[in-house]
Amino acid sequence: MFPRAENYSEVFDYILKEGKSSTSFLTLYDGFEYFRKEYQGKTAVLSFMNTPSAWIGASDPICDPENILDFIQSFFEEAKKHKKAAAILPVSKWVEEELREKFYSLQIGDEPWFDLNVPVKMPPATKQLKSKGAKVEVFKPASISIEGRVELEGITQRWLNDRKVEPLSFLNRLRPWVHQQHKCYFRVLLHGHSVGYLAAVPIRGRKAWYLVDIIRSPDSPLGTTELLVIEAMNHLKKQGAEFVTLGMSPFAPVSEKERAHRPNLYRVLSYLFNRFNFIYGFKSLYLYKEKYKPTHWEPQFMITSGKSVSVRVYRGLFDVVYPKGLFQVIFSSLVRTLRRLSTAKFYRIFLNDEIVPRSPPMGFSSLLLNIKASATIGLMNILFFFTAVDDSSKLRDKMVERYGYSWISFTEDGFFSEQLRVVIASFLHWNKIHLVTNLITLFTAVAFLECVAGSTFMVICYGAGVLLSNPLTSLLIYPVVKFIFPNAYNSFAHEFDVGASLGIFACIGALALFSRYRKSMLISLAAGTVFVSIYTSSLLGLDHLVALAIGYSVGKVYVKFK
Amino acid sequence: MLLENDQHSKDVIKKMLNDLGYSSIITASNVEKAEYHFKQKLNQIRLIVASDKFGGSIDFSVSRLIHQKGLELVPLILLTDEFRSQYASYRTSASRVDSVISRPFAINQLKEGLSYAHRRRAEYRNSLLIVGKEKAEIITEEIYSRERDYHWKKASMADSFAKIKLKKEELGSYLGAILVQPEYSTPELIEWLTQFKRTYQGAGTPIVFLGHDSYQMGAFRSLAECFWDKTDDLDELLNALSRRVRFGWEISEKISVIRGLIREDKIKEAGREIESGLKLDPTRWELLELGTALACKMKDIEAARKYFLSAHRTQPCSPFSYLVFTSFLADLNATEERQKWVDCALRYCPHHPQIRALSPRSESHVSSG
Repeated sequence: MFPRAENYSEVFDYILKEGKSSTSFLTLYDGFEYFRKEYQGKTAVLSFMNTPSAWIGASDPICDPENILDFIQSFFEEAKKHKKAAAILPVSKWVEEELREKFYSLQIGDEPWFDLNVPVKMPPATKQLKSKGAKVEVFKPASISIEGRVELEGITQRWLNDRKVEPLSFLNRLRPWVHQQHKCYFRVLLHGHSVGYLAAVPIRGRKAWYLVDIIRSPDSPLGTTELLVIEAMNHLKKQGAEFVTLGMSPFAPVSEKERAHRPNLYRVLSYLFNRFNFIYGFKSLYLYKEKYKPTHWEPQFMITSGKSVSVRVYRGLFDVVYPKGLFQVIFSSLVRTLRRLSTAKFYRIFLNDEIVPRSPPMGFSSLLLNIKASATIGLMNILFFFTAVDDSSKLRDKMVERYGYSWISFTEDGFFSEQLRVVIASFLHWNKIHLVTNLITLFTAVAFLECVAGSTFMVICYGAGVLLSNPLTSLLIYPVVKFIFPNAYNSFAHEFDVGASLGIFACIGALALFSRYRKSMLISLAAGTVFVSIYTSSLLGLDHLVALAIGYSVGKVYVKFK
Repeated sequence: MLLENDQHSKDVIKKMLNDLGYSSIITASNVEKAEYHFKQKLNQIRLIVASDKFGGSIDFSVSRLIHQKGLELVPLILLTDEFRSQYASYRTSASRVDSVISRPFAINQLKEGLSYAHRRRAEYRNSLLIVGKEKAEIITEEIYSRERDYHWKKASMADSFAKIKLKKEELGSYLGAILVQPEYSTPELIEWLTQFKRTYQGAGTPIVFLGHDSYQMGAFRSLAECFWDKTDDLDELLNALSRRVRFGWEISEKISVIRGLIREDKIKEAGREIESGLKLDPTRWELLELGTALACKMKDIEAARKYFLSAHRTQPCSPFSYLVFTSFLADLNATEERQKWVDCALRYCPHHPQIRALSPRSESHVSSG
């Protein structure tokens, strides 16, 4: 092995000069070690990463075909001596063909190559972007202004933040400014500002370039990366390059012949390719590269030392791709997912075009801040519940009699009773299911109303629903049961009501005002309320209908006259 | 120009602004794009609606741009999530923000905000340019004798074409109205005023012809918004002009609403709108003209006569009033009164084909209803 510190420049020059694989240059980044063997004056080199369980070789070994079997065998034996499993990826077809008899191989992706003598068709979006004034500029990072550099760094950071999961390591590390003297840079300028850039690394052994870092700002216009790629190809061709590659598409579909080799494993990879795009955009990446109509695709393989991919190799692969560990990956992905929760998208689907809502919260912290009133009400409901229930988590009878709302209590105490029945009843719940159901609705519908219309509006609607629904319902029902259905009077008069549902229904009524499904929302909720009321023989249950109407009316008045 | 980050809000506001008569709306979601549009379409920008979520501090970013680009006449409306009490800082006279609208809001609040913003912008247009000498001296004296809170603060006098151009440049965006004394009307002045009326500033700057003599009017028939010959009542003229400038946007908005209501035969609603418009500006002849048409439709001769006479006082050259009113008089067989107004119409609108058809020689062409 090369002693890293002393011979790095020698390795650097050798790989830079002899590397024929698209990823050869990337193995010159920090973190790689180099395995070397001499064959009659000729040097064979393989870059690899050393993990606790395995040596993971990266890119094609730089070696003559006649020595490659021996060279790889030596690498695997050396790894074994260090009590490590070993694997190499991605390797080209010729390497795989030389080694397949002896070692285990698996196609892990496809790499698109472009012969620069064959013209590449310009996608329509790039033409539109050009007509808007966008232009691609070739630049040297050292010679651009500080503002320009800051702008590019900003794009990189925003791009990284926009990833669904923790950015990958190994050959996928984003290091656009490392070894910049050997790279070629392009950026798209629109209205005087950069909206995206591209860094290309040389593949001198093939007179080719790998367009490795194609970075765009998340709010860049359509066609930014396409314009970068096309213009970069044109420029590199003028500079004498013959080929360009966009890099490997992992788990891309394999040929029937290859599939026949290991049908089950390829089925798993195909499943990952088609269904796991929420983790990594396997399919979209492949389709993106296919869009440019590459001259040809070159399959890429993984070679392992054993007869199959061992657990240690899997672990080694995970370690090189995610060096920060499993916990960090899960945590980071969770944070990213929460950050990506886009209420803006939901706004467009749900809200009508008659009222301009408040701005959707940008990110999780902003969301929490926007629903502070809903969260407080929810918390109070939970606190009241645990102080008012007995050992079997049911509301104590004494609490019902003292704080629950009923027609009798209303006529005896009046609206502003000593116990503040209408208010306190709204924080009490019959049992756990009652509480949980109300909390779910509170943290969805009511919280959404708070986001859309603000805490003040939400509290007004909620308060109006809680304070007015029961007394109004009672006053409406009383004459009916007193004079038309006198038999029902007794049960109506002693029927108790508790729970946050009235406030919640009032908020839903107000939310309907903002919704493009206003009619269907109101009709379905009203019908549901009537059905439940009949099913449970509860006349007071119609208070939800009144709450709905109160919320809708309060909302209308507020929006019109505020 | 709409400066907003959220796509949904952007779509809804665009629709509302379209409904309020803004047909072309440029949108930008960050300061860089806004700067680009400011550069490209500077002369087309009539209104700026900006979200407080847009590019940090509005007073810093957008106001800076507005100031740099010299868009002093363009109202700036701020959309905020904050409650009313929290945006008091924008209500200071120093702030470039003309009006603040708190989300959530519907089209009515946007309309109110627009009215307020236009009114506030109009307050800066407090200078008069008077073409002439004799009447100019009286008007200037009148203005400077007023209290500080009076709308008109300055009057500039110009008695030659070269001076007019110079004074106009001096006043810049503070120019509120141009008053022309009949004796100083020249072909090159008319040509210059015609060009000026085609600009954004010109479209909102009323031209007043200080006379009612139909022979002197000439090209001012189509150029001037107002004709005034009662020089002894300057107070009324200056107040009328002030109202025209301050409530210009609101009244124009009302006029288009009223026209729609009349088309839909919603007479009562149209009547209410006319009355509310006249409360803001009782001398606005466009409203009075619509009032005449409405009263004629309702067969109310007294109301029609009242509206027609009021409109005629400030605008004797509008053919529509004559056509509507004389047609109504013909229906009522009020031949004598009709003839009087036909003669007047022929005097003030001699080239209008329908007015010419009203003359006795063309009597047979006059419609009976």
